[in-house]
Order: sequence, then structure tokens, then C-alpha cells
Amino acid sequence: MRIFLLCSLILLSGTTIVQAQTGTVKGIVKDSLTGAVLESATISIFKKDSSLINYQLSDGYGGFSLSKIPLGADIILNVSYVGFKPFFKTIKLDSAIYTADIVLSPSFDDSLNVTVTAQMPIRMNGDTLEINPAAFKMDPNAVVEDLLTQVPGVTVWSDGTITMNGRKIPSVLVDGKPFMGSGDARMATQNLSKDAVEKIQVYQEVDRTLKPEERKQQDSLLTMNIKLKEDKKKGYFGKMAVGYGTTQRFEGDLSFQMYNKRTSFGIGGGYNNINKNIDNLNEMFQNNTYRNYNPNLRNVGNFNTEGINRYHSIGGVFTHNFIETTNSRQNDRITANYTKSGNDRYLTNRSLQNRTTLDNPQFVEDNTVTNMVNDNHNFGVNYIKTNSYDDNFTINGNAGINNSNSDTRRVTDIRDTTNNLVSTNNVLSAEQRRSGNQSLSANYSKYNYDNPTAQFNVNLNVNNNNSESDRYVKSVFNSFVDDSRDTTYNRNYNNTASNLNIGANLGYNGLRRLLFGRFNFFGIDLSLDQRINYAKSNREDRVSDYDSIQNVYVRNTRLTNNNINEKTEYSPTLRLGKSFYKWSDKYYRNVYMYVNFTEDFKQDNNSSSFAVRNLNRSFSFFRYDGYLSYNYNKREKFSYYLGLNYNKNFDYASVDQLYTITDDLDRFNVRIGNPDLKNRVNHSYNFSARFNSQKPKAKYAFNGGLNAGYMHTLNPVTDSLINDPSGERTYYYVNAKESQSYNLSYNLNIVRTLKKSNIQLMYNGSYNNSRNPNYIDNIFSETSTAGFNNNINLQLALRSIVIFNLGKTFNTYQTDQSGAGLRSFKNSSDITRLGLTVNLPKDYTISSTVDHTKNTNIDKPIILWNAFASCRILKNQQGELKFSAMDILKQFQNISNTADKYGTTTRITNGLQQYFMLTFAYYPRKFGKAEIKKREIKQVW
Amino acid sequence: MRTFTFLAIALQFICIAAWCQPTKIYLSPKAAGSANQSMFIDSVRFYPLEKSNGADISRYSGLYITDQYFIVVNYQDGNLIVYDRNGRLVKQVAYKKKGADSYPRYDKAKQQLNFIFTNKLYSLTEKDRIEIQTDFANKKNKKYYKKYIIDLNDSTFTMKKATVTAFDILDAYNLKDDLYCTYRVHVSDRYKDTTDYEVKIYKNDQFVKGYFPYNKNHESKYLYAPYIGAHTQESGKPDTFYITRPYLDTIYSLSNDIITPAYQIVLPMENSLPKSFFETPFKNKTERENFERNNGWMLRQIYTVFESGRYMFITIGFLSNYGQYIYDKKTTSSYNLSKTKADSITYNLPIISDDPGNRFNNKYYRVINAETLKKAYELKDKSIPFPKELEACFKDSKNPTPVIVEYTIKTY
Repeated sequence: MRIFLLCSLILLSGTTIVQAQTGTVKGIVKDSLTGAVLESATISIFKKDSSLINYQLSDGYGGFSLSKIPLGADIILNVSYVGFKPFFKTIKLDSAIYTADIVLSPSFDDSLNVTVTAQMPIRMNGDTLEINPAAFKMDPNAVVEDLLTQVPGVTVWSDGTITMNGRKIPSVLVDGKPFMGSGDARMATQNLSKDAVEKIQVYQEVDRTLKPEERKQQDSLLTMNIKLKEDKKKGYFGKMAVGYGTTQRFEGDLSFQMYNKRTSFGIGGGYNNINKNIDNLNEMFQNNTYRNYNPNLRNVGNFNTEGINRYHSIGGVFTHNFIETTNSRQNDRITANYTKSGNDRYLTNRSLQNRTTLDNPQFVEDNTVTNMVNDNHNFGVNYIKTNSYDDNFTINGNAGINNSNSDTRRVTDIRDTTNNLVSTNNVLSAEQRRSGNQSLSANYSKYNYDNPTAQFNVNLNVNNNNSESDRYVKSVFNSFVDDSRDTTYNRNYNNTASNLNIGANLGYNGLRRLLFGRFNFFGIDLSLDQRINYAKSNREDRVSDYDSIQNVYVRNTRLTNNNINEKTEYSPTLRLGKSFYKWSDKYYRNVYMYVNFTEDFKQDNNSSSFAVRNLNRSFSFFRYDGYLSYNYNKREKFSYYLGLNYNKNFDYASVDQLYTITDDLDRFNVRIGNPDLKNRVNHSYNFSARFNSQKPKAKYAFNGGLNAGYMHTLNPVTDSLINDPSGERTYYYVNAKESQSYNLSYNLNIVRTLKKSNIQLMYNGSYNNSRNPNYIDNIFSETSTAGFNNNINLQLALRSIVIFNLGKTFNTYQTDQSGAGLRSFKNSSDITRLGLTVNLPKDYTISSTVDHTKNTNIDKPIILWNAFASCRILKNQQGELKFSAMDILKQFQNISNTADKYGTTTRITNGLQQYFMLTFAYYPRKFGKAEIKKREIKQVW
Repeated sequence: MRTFTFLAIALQFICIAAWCQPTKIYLSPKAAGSANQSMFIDSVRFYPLEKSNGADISRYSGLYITDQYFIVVNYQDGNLIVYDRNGRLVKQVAYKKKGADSYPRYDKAKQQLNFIFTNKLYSLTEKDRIEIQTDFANKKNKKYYKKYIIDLNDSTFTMKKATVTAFDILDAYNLKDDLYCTYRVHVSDRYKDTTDYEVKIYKNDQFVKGYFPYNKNHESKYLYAPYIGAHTQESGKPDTFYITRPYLDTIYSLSNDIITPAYQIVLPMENSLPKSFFETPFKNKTERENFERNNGWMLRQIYTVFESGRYMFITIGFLSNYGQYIYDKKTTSSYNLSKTKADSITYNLPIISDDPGNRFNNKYYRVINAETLKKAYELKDKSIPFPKELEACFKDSKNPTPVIVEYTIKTY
């Protein structure tokens, strides 16, 4: 931690040194005709080669002051204002302050309605902030994200998030629509050429996910719309890459997307054995963007993935807009996608477990080797139609097929405190599994102020999935404490399962009008939600044991069973909500509250081949929840939000908990049911707070949030655990009186802008603690499990030339037992991450990452050092050669810690080891009719 | 002789036709320029307002001017502060709790402030309003509105409850003497197929004459259009009023019951409504809203026209935007009010920026709140001393007292 702080201080002081030998240009802009000062005139300073050094809008009194201008160099001072002739002059700063009062002449005869367009970098057009890309002199290959890093007030965070004056921009659109049908802003900002963009607009938009009565000013979404030039509304871009390295490592990536005004299509895929997961099409597109500013150093071989995986995937996504509009109120769009993916995994796992047992701690060493092959097909379709913010119709359909085969060999040794072996368990298993799922959901909502009784929202969901599996298991358990505990099984499990779920939710928002007519019930909104759900699961487990005498599998009647479970639920909910608000020219604030009253009617029927499980039950629960929020927004200063939520609900025990079918094949996890389990009652309380600065001209911008939750459960289902001296474990379901858990999570992000450079500090952390009563070896114990996680990342970006990342993650887990004689455990990990990218002029990039991991369960820290060198080649920088050196120190081990109420576990798995790889990538890119060309830039005045 | 008579009649027709042609004002919202406000302001006088407890005057406060009083209305807080014409505090009146959706309407003839509140206990839809207003004689419909009056001749300024009449519901305002005028234009298929007038003149509550007939049931250009109305306002000339209408660029003159087009604000093509807007009716409210959203800088209506010799204040509403302009008749150039700057000649006070204020007897009045005064004080030009009335506002420079600025516009 000290090293981390030291590095931070060095970096911060370094940025100060960089700013030496500069001066300030200041003055006032006036109208030559009237002498009036001109507000929002654009003052820009360029180098002789026309590259932009700095710019500013004049203030309300025409004044401007541009600091950090290089001394002694010839620079061009340009002032522009709509309707006036632009002013430009070559100047040289000889002293720290250069004063220039600029007089602009009108460039039009008003009666002739002539308008002169000047290159203003940013301007306000009504309530919309407009950014003009043409005013920013940048590399011809720059993408939108590169441009945004140069816009005052806009911060592109290291994770791709965009904020404006401290406020997050959750919605980034291209011509009013999600680009390529994706909600991921990076798809647009990291691919679209800056030269293809006419302007970028930032404005507030209604959050259509909220009901009208919930839509307050502070809930509106800050939206960024990238408006493409008319001749650039058609284009394509992508990446094709192949790489081969030592130890037979290889990778191949494909991403290709094309679009026009209404339609877009993208294909993506990949094949690698470097643990780079590529089964998500959107992630693939995102990982293969043409980014410059913040190279994705983590989209490489993933050393933290367990095992060696050979991944493959291929897929496509098609989007079509049936209407051609550039506003986001109106949508009529279909998106379809298909992905075929899979992997071939080889995993070795060594787990070391400390077990909590009475006066007799046990240490478990588990060695597992798994070979697994799986193959997936996924298809999805989405349709959305909206005409305004008050109506919404969407359909989502998804279908998938999964096939997998796996072979596992597992050897478990259990030792006592004197390191004597108390038992061993050797397990061989082979499984074939095939599953399929289909889902369909449809939503329709309609709000109408003129006809309040016709306001409703309908949601329908249908899910169906089925699976078949065939598993052969040979298990030999030997006890060195008690021979009578020895068991040998050769068992076959043939399972089929199908689940159908049909749910509907009908929300009626016209209840107040319907009940009271024009009487507004003191401003309290009333709505009635009705949820209906039907679920049917059909499971058939056929279990057979091998008869070595007859050489046949014989049906195991104790375990073979059929079970059909049908759940029918009906839950009407009455909601009462009310809001108060107050505003002035300086602030806006509001309070919103609601309470929900719900009656749950539940019918749970079970039909089983075991008579005891033929259980039909009916439940009726009355539950309620409430919410209170407060928002305060001080214009151009800050805003914050406070929210409080309370919820009470009920759970009942499933038939599998009441009448568990006990399979004792796994000697370490034998489950026994309990027919006397009571219903659980949960009381949960949640508090959340958010804060962000919103000073347009501030050098610092920051935002933060805090979430806290507390849950109190009455009659929780917990375990009574019996540890056998041989290491066998038997769990009995029991009720406890109560359990509690609480959690706290928080984050803080700060950015300091230094002209074209910035420093970002992102911090997030969480603390959670649960107190669960249980019995361990008949001793009552309250287990307190605590986890404390902290993650901090500092990024320094110096004019996009040097990007330095320093991150630290610190996690601790602790389990305390209140029961006498039971052991408590604690472990922790401490990871320090360094990343450095240097974009050397021209087109060369070198970068490196170092991960330093300390863990209480390993003797020496592990260092993972990767380094990369790449150069952009070919015409228009469309090719890239990259050399990767991974795990240079050859000492990486994949180690992870987990903790639960019965002990802590350290897992050591196989994974990637040192390799070197050479990768060639080609980026096909074309926006509009003309190929993106590396052309000479001529300054347009 | 016949030839002479014919020529004389023809000449007369030509003269009438020429006389009826409106004066064209070419105005480009995008290109309207900027200027120092002293370019337009002739004289300035200040009325410092005595401090009042608990009532803030904000940027959004309204102002009513009578012969005896300045009445500042805080719409946010729902109260009004009455000052005498020297700025001395007379009375504070809170009206927020009396009802909803109302602001005072000044009746010059009766020297009253009228409040027509909707009853807070009810939420009314457009359909409700139509049903209530078309059947207001029904006693059941009286409960939806409440009326209060402040008699400005009564120094107690008590809000007195009054009976709401069908005439009150029309939201007519006092035009001159005992003449009242309606402005609302509303079309809905819930109305019967009847003709109404965009502007209706009443003598007290008796209908006198209507202008610009339209069909209340299906006039296509007004169908699904919310909050539109024809604005009739004093022109500054004796017995002459200006009328502006929705979606039209013409300013009409009403004088002696005769309507003539006085001015036409000629806008660039990008601000002009297309022919299809008038010819093809919108199918529903959403279609209209989307058209307005997608064409935000097309003309909705010219709202206010103040004429003062050389200059005209013109307020224009666009489909999703708003602009205020000064037109210089002499140079035929136009200025955007939001770009006008407070300068040292006018003590750096934003007098006409964004809003020229209210006109009363050919003078204009504008309230300047404490926050704005503080900024002006910071920019004070020592070579141009404040007049003593303005200086009086800054006895406590950190918390100055608001001031009403009375000013006149140059006529030369």
C-alpha cells in the first residue's frame, strides 16, 4: 500500500513539472458594430501545423483566459462566432501573459438572412450541448472516444464509462438509435471514425423504464447522440486477427460489422487455447474495437481462468429499423442474433480445505482432473416498437442448446491434526449431458394522461427448459478409522428434467381514476399489479448400481424416482405512491414514497413415485414493502440522492428440503431432509446514496455512491452438520430462530483534468457480514462470516501518449464460530496491478502489465508479468503486428480462496504458463463512400 | 368620364390592396445578432424594494404594475408582495393553499386581481375540462373551480372568495375599459361540430364579436395541439390591438372592428411550416408530438409584439424552442435578446436580456433580484457611479435589496 501511495505522489508531482514554460492568452471578444461583448464565442489556439493546443468559450462578459500556452512558439489565435467573420492571427508569447482584445465584424446582412458557419468546438443549442468534431484537429484515424477525451467536462473513464460534468451518461446513441442494436457505448465510441461524425449532442431524456408519476427531472437520462454525416451513414469496420506462439498457443479473432441508415449486420468469432473467453458475441465485438486511447490490455490470454481451455465461437447479429427517424422516442426495430460456441477444457485442481469440527480439525486435500467438452447454440430475437415516451412494446425470444461431455477423476485425502490419513475417497465419473431452453417475453405499456383509466402495462413470460444426462460414477471410500464405513459404489444416474414456467404481470395504473373518478385522492397515486405464475417441473431420476456378479446395472429403488412439481401463484399488489417537489432557479428537490401491499396465494403440488413426497400445500402470505427517496440538485454545483427501502416477504421449504432423497455416494455431502421445517420470514432494509459534482468549469469531477443492506430472517433453514471421524459429513436441514446479514458497498471516482491529460482515481469496496446459526457436531454455533474487499485503480493519461495504471485489490475473509471448541479461520489476498502503455510516434505502442499477488496460503508472492509491443502498419493503419510475452517470469500459479461457515478452501488449479506470441490483425474500415485515408489536414477557417 | 371613373375606382382598389399588404420583417433566428442593451434603452429609473420577510424574489418572479402598486408574484412559492410605487412594502399575500394551477390575472377596469383556481382535490383530463366547461351551468361542475378576488382599492388586500361563473372559466382578460378578450383555441372531436372564434371580445361578460372562425370539432391544423391561443394585446397605438395566431407569421391589427394584417415575420425556410402541415391532418396526438419534436425550430406562434418607435420586441415560439428578438426598423436588422449584454451605461444590470419585462403606459418595468444585483455590483464601473436609488440597494452589498427598473426604449 505504501508503494502504491508513493507511486501516486510521484505521478501527481510529475504532472506538475510537465506544465512548466507556458503562458496565458487572455482578453475580451466584442462586436465591432455595437461594441457588445460576445458570450460563447469560441477562442481556439492552434500550432502552426494546425493542431489544436487549447480552446475556450468566452464567458458572459466576453472574457477568456487560455493558460498553459507554450512560450516562444508561433501559434495561431482564432476566434469565431456565429454570424461574424472569424478572426485569426499568428502570435508568439514572449511573456507569461498575452492580452488580446478581439473585435469581430458581422459577416452578413441580416435582411438577406445569410448565415456563416464557424468551426465552434462546443456550443449550447437550447438545452442541448453540441460538440463539433470538425473543430478538433486530430489524427485521421482517431475514433469518437479519442475526440471525447479532448472535450472539456467529458471524462472517458478507464472502464469505458463516460461522464459529463461528473454525471454518468448511461445512454449513447447513434442517430437516435443504439448502434448496431447494442447498448454498449464503446461499440460506437471506439469504432466510429471521428471524421464520420457531424456532431455529438448531449441532452436529457425521459427514462421510459419509469412510470409517468415516477419520472422526475433528476431521473431523466443524460443521453449522448452521435449524429453521423449524411454521407457516412453507411460503412463497415472490424478486425481479423491470427496469432501463434510458443507451447503451441494460438488465437484467432474475427469481428466484422457493417451498417447503413436502417440496417446493420455483424459477425464475430474466434478460436484460441489461451483462455480468452469468446462465447459472448457482444463482448467479442467490444474487445475487438479500433480503440486508440485506452488499449484493452486485459483482452489477452486470461491467466486467472482455471484450466487450459480451447474456446471456439462463431456468430452474427442483424438489426433492422423499420422506420428512419433520428429521435429515440420512436422505435420500430428488430434484432436477431445467433452464436455457436464451445470449449474443450482440461482442468487439474488441488483444493486444500480446513474444516471446522469439534476438537478434531480435519484437513482435506482434494486432487481432481477434469476433461470436459461442451458445445452451445444460442439464438435470440428482440423486437421493439415505441411511438412516444408513453408507450412501449417489446418482444424477446431466446433459444439455446447445450451438449457437454466430461470425465473427472477425483482423489480426496482427509488427515487429522497429526497429519495421519483418516480416509480416502477415489471417484471416477463420466457424464454426458444435453439440455435445451426456450424463452419468450412480451411487454406492453401504455400511459395516457387524457384517459387515465386506460393506463396499464402487461408483461408475459414463458420459459421452457429440458435436460437429459447420463452419468457413471465409481466411488471407493476407505476409512482408516473405522473399516465398517468403507463403501464402494459403481452407479449410473440417468436423469431427465423439464421445466415450464408461464408468468404474467398486469399492472393497472388507472385505479385511482376508476375508483374515485375526478377526485385525486389527495395526490396519492394508486395502482394495482396482478402477478400470475404457473411453474411445472418434471424430473425423472433413474439410478442403477452395478452388480459385479451379474455384470449388469440393477435399478436402485431407493434413489430412482419421478417427481412432478406444480406451483401456481397469484399475487395482487396495491401500490400507493406520492411525491412532493420544490424548485427554484438555484435548486430542485423532491421526495417520492410508495408502499406496496401484497397478498401471495400459492399452491404447491407434488406428485412423486415416493408416497411421502406426494405433498400438496397451500399458502397465503400478506407482505408489504415501502420506499422513500430524496433528491437534491443544486444547479451547476452538485446533486445527491438518498433512498430507503423496506421489504417483508416469506419463503417456504421445498419438498426436496422436507423429504430429501438421500444419496450417500458423495460421503462428504450427505443430505438429510426435515419434514418439520417452518416458513421463513425475511425483513430486509436497504439504504442507498449517490453523489456527484456537476460544476462545468471545475478541474475536478467526482462521483460516489454507497449502498447498505440489512436482512433479518426468522426461522431460517440452516444445517446441523455431523463430521464423522473418517471425514464423512452429514448435513441435516434444521430451522434456527433467526439469522442476520448486512452488507455495505461504496465507490468513489475522481478525475483531475490537465488540458489533454487527466488522472483518474476509481475506488470501490464492500464489506459483508452474515451471522448464521447452525449446529456443528451437535454444538450450537453462530457462524459469523465476513468479507472485506477493496479495489482501487489510478490511471494517468498523458495526452494519450503515456497511459499508466496502478491498481490494488485487497480482500480478506474471516469465519468465526461462537461454539466452544470450534475453530475460526481467516485468509486474505493482496493483488497489486501495474499497467503501462506508451504510444510512440508514430503508430508504435509498447505496453506491459504486472500483477503481484500475495496470499496468506502461499509462501511466496506470485508475479505475473506480461509485455506487448505492437505497430500499426499498412495503408491507413489498418494492419497491426503485435508481439506478446506472457508470464515472463514463469512463476504464475492460479490460486483462489473461498470461505464458508464450515471452513476455508484454497484452490490451486492448472492454467496458462509462460508463452510468447506473434499476432497479426487487420482492421477493415470504411465510413461512407471514400476509404478512410491518411490525408493531409488542411485547416478550414 | 366613365374611363375616369373606372380609373379612379381601380386606383382606389390598388391603394386599398397596397394598404392591406403587411409590412414584411425578415428575421433569421439563427443569425440574429448581439448588442449592448444601452443601444436600445433611453432612460432608466430605479425603485428599490423594501425587504420583506420570508418572501424571496427569484429570476422567475412576475410583475404587475398598477397606477398605485408594484405587485411581485412568486409563482414557485405561491405568494405575492405588494409594494407602493416607491417600492415600500405594503402587504404580503400567500395564495398557494387556496388552490392549484393559478396565477393572478389583473383586471385593470375593476382594479382587481382575479384567481381562478382548480380544486386541488380533483385531477381533470382534457375530456373533463370540455365536459365541465360546456355544461358549466350544471351545479355539479362548480366544485372544480374556485375563484378569489383581491380588490386593489381595499388596502387590506384580503383574498375574497367569489362565485365562479361561466365567463370566468373562459379565462378572458381585460383588454381595455370594460372589454374582455378570450384567447384559447381548442379543437377536439369531443366538441360538437360547431364554429368558434379564435378571438372573442366581450363587453363585461356579454359576447360582442368574434374573429377568426374555426371548427371546434375538426379544424385540422389545431387538432391534437395543446396550449395554443390567439394573443390579443395593446399595440401602443390608440384603440388598436395586435393579434397573433397559432402557426401563422402574420401580426394582425384590430382597430375599429376591422382586422388588417400589419406585419409579416418572414422566417427562413428552415423555420417555416411546410404546406403539408396545413393540408394533411395528424392522425393522433403522438404523431403531432413527434412532428414537433423532429422539427423543433419551425414556427409555432408569434407571441408578443411590443412596438416602441424604432424598435420592436418580438417573442417567437417554435415547435420545441423559444426566442426573443429586437427588430430595428431603421436598419432592418434583428438582435437576439438572449445575446444582448448588460453594459456599464446600464450599470451592468440585465434589464432586457432574456426578457424585456412588462409594459405599462409606454414604459417598461423589470424586477432585478438580489443575486443578479450582486453580480452587477462586482462589475461596477467606478467611473460611472450608481444613481442614489440603486446605491440604496447596496447598503448591505452581500445581501442587496431587489429593485424594479423602469425604463424606456429609444424611439430614434
